[in-house]
Amino acid sequence: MSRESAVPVGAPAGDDGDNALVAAIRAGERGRFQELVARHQRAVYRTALAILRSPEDAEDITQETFLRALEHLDQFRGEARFSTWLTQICVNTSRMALRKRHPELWTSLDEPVTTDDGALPREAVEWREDPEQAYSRQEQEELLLNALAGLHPSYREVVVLRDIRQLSTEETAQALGLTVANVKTRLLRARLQLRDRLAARLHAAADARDLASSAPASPKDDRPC
Amino acid sequence: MLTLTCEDFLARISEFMDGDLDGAWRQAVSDHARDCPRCAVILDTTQRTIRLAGDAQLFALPAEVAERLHARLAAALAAPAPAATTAAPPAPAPVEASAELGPASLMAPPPLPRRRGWLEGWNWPLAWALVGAVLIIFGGVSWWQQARIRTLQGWLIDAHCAARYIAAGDMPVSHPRWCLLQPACVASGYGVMTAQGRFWRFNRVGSIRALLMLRASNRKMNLRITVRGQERGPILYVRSLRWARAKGLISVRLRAPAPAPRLRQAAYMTASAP
Repeated sequence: MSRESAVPVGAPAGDDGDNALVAAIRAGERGRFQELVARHQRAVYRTALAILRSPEDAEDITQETFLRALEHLDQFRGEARFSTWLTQICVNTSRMALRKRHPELWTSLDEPVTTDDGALPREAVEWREDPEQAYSRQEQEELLLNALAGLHPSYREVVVLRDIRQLSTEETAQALGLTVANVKTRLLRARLQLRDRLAARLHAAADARDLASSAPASPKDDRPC
Repeated sequence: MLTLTCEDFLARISEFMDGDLDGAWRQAVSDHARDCPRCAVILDTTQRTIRLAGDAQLFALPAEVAERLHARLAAALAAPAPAATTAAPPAPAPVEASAELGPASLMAPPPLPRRRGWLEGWNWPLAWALVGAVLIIFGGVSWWQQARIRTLQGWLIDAHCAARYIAAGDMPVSHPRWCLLQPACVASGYGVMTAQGRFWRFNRVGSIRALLMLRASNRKMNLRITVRGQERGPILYVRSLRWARAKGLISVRLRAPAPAPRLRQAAYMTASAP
């Protein structure tokens, strides 16, 4: 079977040399697997962290994803990009971990998702401050992770792959085993919900900051009303 | 020209931001955002949300995490190729892994993990075997207990005096009721002495039943009883107890002890010792 015939229409055009590396590793240069890992470790960690929220869990999942990739490297046939294949493993591993370690965050993907179809987003208030300017990187991460944690897992996965990982809609569909139309539907709801949750947190944080700044400077001024 | 409602606008906001809308729809969404301040705010804040989420600076991989990852992989790579599969401690069961990553399913939709119904994960053969084992054990125990139940006829006597009759090879035919009600005899507990000269001691509850039966009765001697109980070593766990010639069981629980025998018991006590 020729290489071309194995590649379906719409499959990866540029693999950035991943396929060559995989071929080399399969040919016996197992040490080069670390090169492959170095290319994708950040993306895998990002995905796991955004899905699972905890850095410790994300580290475990990152390790497990690469170990499983190494174990099953023979089964990668280049029909999709290596990064998509890796993302698929990462998402599956994260799902299992989520179900095992945080059943409270896990809702069955079989259950119909209750959506607010037709309902307008709750808040349409201009943000008073831009989180990118007003908050440190760590605070931004925290805000985003907390907002993500409130999403249904199937929405969270879509928004993580599409907006955080910035995969294309097709790659997201491939990695999650969904149709493109399905990804688009989920993405719309996920984005609006994420916006709502983030807005609520930003407003609460801004209010708290206002209160703190309007509080009396010294306890002496704090007279009872 | 297309005119959108706010709902239409929101339904297309995601595709609009991704640049997936064609000319007319794109224009209609832009027009709506211009004319509707509320939707304009939603569009703006959603775009900022996505920009924040996509910020490449966020969720950086800490250097020490990367180091640990490479160290772990180096250990896995150092192992011989077939051992590499076993060198991954947290890796899930091979069956599960190959089901997800097998050649046939490669790039097919990944199996969605489902929450399993509470009966789904059962190992049915094991469950049935357990149920069978429990039934067999239960049946065996109840058969064995039933096999130890015996019905005896003999004389009601306390353990204190029984020893003397056994030593003399005599039957307590004339052993008087008043003796059985002596404190030392009551304290020693009761039992039944068969015509073969064997004494079966009652369990504590059986002794109390015997005492109540004695008190309720006005028999003076030849206290023959029929007792049914379970044999456990030297003790007979009394299930039913009645006077041998009485018709039916004497319900010792329902009959209150009569006061008259107590008076007579006092008279007997002064008359002679057992």
